[in-house]
Amino acid sequence: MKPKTLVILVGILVLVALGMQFPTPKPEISLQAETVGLVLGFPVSNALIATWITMAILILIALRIRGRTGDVPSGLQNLIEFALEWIFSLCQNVAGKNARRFFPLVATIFLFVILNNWMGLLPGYGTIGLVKEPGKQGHSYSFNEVQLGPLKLGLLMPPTGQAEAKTEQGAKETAKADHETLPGQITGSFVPFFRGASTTLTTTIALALVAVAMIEWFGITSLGFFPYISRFINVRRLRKGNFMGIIDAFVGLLEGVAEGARIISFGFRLFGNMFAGEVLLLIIPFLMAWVVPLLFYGLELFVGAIQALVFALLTLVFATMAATSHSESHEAQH
Amino acid sequence: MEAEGVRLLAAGIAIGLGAIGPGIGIGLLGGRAMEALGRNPEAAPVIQSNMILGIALAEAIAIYALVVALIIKFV
Repeated sequence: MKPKTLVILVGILVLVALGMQFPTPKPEISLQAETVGLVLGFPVSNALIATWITMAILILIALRIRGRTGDVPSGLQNLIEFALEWIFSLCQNVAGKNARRFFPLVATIFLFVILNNWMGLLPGYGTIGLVKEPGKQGHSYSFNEVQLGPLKLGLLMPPTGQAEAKTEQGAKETAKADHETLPGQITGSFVPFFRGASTTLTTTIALALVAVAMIEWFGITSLGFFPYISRFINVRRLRKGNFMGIIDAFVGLLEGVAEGARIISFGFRLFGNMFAGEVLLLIIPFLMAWVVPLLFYGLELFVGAIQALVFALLTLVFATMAATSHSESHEAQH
Repeated sequence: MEAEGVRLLAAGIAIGLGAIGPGIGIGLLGGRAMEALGRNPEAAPVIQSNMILGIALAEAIAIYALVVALIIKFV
C-alpha cells in the first residue's frame, strides 16, 4: 500500500473515531411540515416556502436562458439543453408520435422534483429556524439561540466542547443527557424555515393529482370522451345480452380503481423515499458524527435523481397507455 | 402489553413484512434486467425504462405497507 493511501485511511479512521466522541442533538422527526407563520390568515409551512424557492429558481433559469440563446450553447444553456434533450429522447423512446404533447408535463415534473429533492440536502434546510415555546421539555431540541434584529433564531449546531463534560457526568446521566441543556444552548420547540418540499405529503399528493389529471386529459383528448370512458364502464357486451359481459364490466371497474390507486402510489412513493432519506440523514450523524454522513449524502443525491426520473417516467408511460386504445396496442404488439 | 407498544410493534411488522415481497420482486427484476443487458447491450434504453417501470410497480406494494404502517402509528 502506498504511504499516501495509508495516511488518508488512517486520517478517515481518526475522524470517524473522533466524531463518535461528540454528541449530536437527538433528532426530532415530524411527519408533517411545520407551520412557520400566517400570511393573510393562511398557514404557511416550511415546505411551502421551500417549494416557492424551487419555483423561483426554475423561473429565473428559464428567463435567463430565454434571453440569451445562442446557436453555440455555453455554460448554463449547455446544461439545460443537455437535460431537456435527454428528457425529450426519453419521451420519443416511450411515447413515439405523442412525444411532443407529453414532453412539457414530463420535463416540468422531472425538473421540479429533482430540484426539490436536491434543495432539501442543502445546509440550512432543517437547521435554521424559529424558536417556539422556549424552555419546553420533553419533545424538544437543544440549539443555540441567535438574536437577529427583532427575530429570535434557533440554530441547530453540533455542540462544541462538552465531550469532557459528558464523560464527567458518568454513565447514569449520559442516558439522560439527550434532553439536557448543553452549555450555551437552550431547549424548546424548533420550527425550521425550510424543509425539503418532497418530504411532506401535501406537495407529493398535489403533484400526483396534477399528473393523474393530466394523464386522464391526454387519454380523453386523444381517444374521445366516450371511447376513453368505456375503458372503465365497459357494458358493451352486457347490453347485447351476452352474460360473459359481466367480466368485462368488472375488469373495467378494477381499472377505474387502479387509476385512483395511482394517485396514492405516486404521492407516497416520492414522499416515502424522500422522507426516509431525510430521517436517515438525521439518524446517521446521531450515531456517527463525522465522515460517515457524507456517504449517505451521496446516496441521497442518487435517490433524489432516481425518484425524479421514476415520477416523470411513470407519468410518461401511463399517459402513453391512456392515449393508445386497446385495439391499437394489440396491433402494435403483433 | 400497553396499547401504544402494540401499535409501535404493529407498525414495524406491517412495513417489515410488506417490504419482503417487493424486495424479492425488485431483486428478480434487477437481476433479469442485468442478464438481458449482458446479452443485448444495444437494447439498454428499452430495458432500462421497462426495468424502472417494473421496479416502480413492485415498489408500489411496499408503499401500501408504508401507508398502513403510518396510519397505525399516527392515526
